Amino acid sequence: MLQTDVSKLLDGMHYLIENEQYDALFTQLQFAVTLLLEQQHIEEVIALFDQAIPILLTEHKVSIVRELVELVMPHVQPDDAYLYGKMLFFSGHVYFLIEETDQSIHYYRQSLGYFMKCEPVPFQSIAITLLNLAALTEKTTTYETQLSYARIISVFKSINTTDETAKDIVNKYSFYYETCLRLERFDDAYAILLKLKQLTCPPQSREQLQVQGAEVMYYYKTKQYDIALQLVTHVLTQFPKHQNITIMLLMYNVAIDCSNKLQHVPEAMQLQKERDALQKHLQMQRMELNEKFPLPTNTLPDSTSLQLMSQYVNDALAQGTCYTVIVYDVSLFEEGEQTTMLKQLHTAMQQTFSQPIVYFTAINRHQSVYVVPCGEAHTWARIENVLATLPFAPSYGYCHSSKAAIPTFEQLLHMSYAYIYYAHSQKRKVT
Amino acid sequence: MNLVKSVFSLNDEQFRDVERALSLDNIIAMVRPGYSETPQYIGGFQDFFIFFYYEELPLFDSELTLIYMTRYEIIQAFAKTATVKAMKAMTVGNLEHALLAAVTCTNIYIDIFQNVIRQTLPPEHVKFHETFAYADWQHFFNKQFQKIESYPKLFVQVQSEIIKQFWAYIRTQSDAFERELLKAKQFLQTYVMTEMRLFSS
Repeated sequence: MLQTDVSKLLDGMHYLIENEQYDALFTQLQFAVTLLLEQQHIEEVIALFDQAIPILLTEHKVSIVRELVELVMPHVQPDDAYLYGKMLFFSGHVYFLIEETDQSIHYYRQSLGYFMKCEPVPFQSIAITLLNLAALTEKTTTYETQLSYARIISVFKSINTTDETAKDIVNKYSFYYETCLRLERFDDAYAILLKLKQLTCPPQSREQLQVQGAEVMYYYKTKQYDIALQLVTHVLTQFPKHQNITIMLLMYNVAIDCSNKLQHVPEAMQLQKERDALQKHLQMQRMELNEKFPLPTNTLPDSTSLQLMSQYVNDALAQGTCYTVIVYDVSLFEEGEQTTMLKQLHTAMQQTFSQPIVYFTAINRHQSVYVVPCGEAHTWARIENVLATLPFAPSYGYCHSSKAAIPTFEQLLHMSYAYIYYAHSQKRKVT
Repeated sequence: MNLVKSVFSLNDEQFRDVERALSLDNIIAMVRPGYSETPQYIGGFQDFFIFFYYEELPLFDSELTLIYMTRYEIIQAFAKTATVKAMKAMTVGNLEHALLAAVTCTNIYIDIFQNVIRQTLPPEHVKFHETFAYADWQHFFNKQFQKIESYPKLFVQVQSEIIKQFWAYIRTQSDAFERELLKAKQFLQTYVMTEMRLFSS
C-alpha cells in the first residue's frame, strides 16, 4: 500500500480544480480515490467529490463519474447517512445526464431519505436534489404540485444562509419565479420580480442579466410584447453575447417572437441571423471542450513511450526491484520555452545521476518522467544537484517503491503528480 | 404515492386534499429509505397529514380503527403531546407544512419501531409483521380469509404486542421521545420562519 500525505494530495487536487486543468484532474481523481479508499479516508473522498463532480459532469465526463461512484459505493455504509446519501445523489446525477430518467429519479429519492437521517439536516443538498427531481418529474405532475415543489425548494435553499449576495438571492428565487411564470401565477411572479429589481448587482454580471432577463420574461409571458421588446433589446445591446450564452439565446427567442407578433418583420429576420450565429458559436465551444489535449511524442532523444515504460517497470517492480519515479513539470513557465527547458533538464539529469537512468520520456509538452534505481536518501540530493545546474526552477515530484510495499508504475507516477500539484497549490497561496 | 385506506372518515373534498398531498412524491421520498412505499407506513403518513392539515379532525372510522389498530394508536400517542399540538398550530390549512410535519413524525415512528420495538418482538412476530407489511390488512377480515380462520388471531396478537411495546417506550423513554418531537418541531419552525422571510412583501 502506497503511503501518502492526504492533505497534500487533496491540496493538489483542489489546485487542479481551481485552475481548470481537467485532463490532469480526470486521471488524478481516479488514482486519488483508489488510494484514499485503501487508506479509509472516506470523508476526504466525499469532500473531493463535492467539488470535482459538478465540474466533471459539466465537462460531460459522465462515464468517469459513474466509474468513481461505483468504486466508492461498496466502501460506504448505509449507517453513515450523509456519505451514503451523497453517493446516491451522485448516482442520480449520472443517470440524469445519460437521460435514464427512472433510474435518476430512484437514486435522487433514495438520497433524500438518507439526508433526512442526518444531524444537522443538509438543507442545501436536499434543495438541489429536489430541484433536479422537479425537473425530472415535471411532465407527470400537476401545476399545483410543481408550484409546491418550487416553493419548498426556494425555502430549503434559503435555510441557514447568511450574508447573501445578489447572486445568492437570485439563485434562491429563480426556480420559483420561472415556475410561477410557466404556470401563469403572474401576481406571485410579479411580487418576486419586485424583490429582484431591488437588488444591487455588479454591472454586466450574470445576476444582473438574470434580473433583467426575469423582467423581460414577465412582460413576455403576460403578452405585453411592446414592453418586452423594449426591455429585451436593451439586454441584447447591454450584455456581451458570448458570455451566458444560454440566457442570451433565450433573450433572442423572446425578441424574435415579440418582433413577429408586433409585425416588425425585417427586425425579426435580423435577430434570427444574430441568434443563429450565436447558436453556432455555442456549438463550436462545446466541440472544443470535448477535444482531448494532444500528447506530443519524441520531444526528447531516445525516449521510451509511457506505455512501454509502464510495462517494463511493472514487471521489474513485481520481481522486487526498487525504483524511484521522478516527474518534472514546467507548466508554470511560458509555453514557447517549455520544450527547451525539458531538454535542459534532461541534460542535467544525465550528467547528475551516476547510475544510468532506466527509462525516461516526455509525458506532454510540459512534463517529463524518469525512472531511476535508487532510494530516497540519494534521490533527494541528486534532484537538488540537477536543479542547481538549471537557470530555472521546475516543479517536481518523486515517489519510490520498496520491497515492503510494491506499488505499480502508475501509482508511483500519480503520486509524483500529486506532489507537483500540491506544490503549485502552495505557490498560489503565497502569491 | 397511492392512497391507502384512512383510519379517518373522509368526505370527497378531504379525499381530494389527501390525494393532492400524496402527489408530492418527491417530498414523501424524505420518509426513511425503504418505507415510503410500504402501505403500512404510507397509511401512517397519511394519518399524520390529515391530523396536521385539518383544524377539526374528521371522525375516526370505527371499523377501520380496529383493522389498522397500530396506526390508530400511533396517531393518538403523538396527538396527545404538547409538542405535536404546537406543530399543528403551524400546519393547519397549509399543505406543504402539513406534509413536512407528517414526514418528520412518520420518521420518528419508523425509528422507534426499528430501533426499539422490533428488538423486543419474538422473531416469528417480526417475520409475520414484515411478511404482511405490503398487504392491505383489511384482507384478514374478509370472507375469503374467514373460511381459513374465523378470526385473524396471530395478526391481532402481533399488532397488540407492537402497540404494547410502543406505549411502554413512550412511558419509559418519555425524554427520548420528547427530544425527537422537539427536533421535528424545530425542523418545521425553521422551515416556516425561512418561508416567511423569503416570501413576505
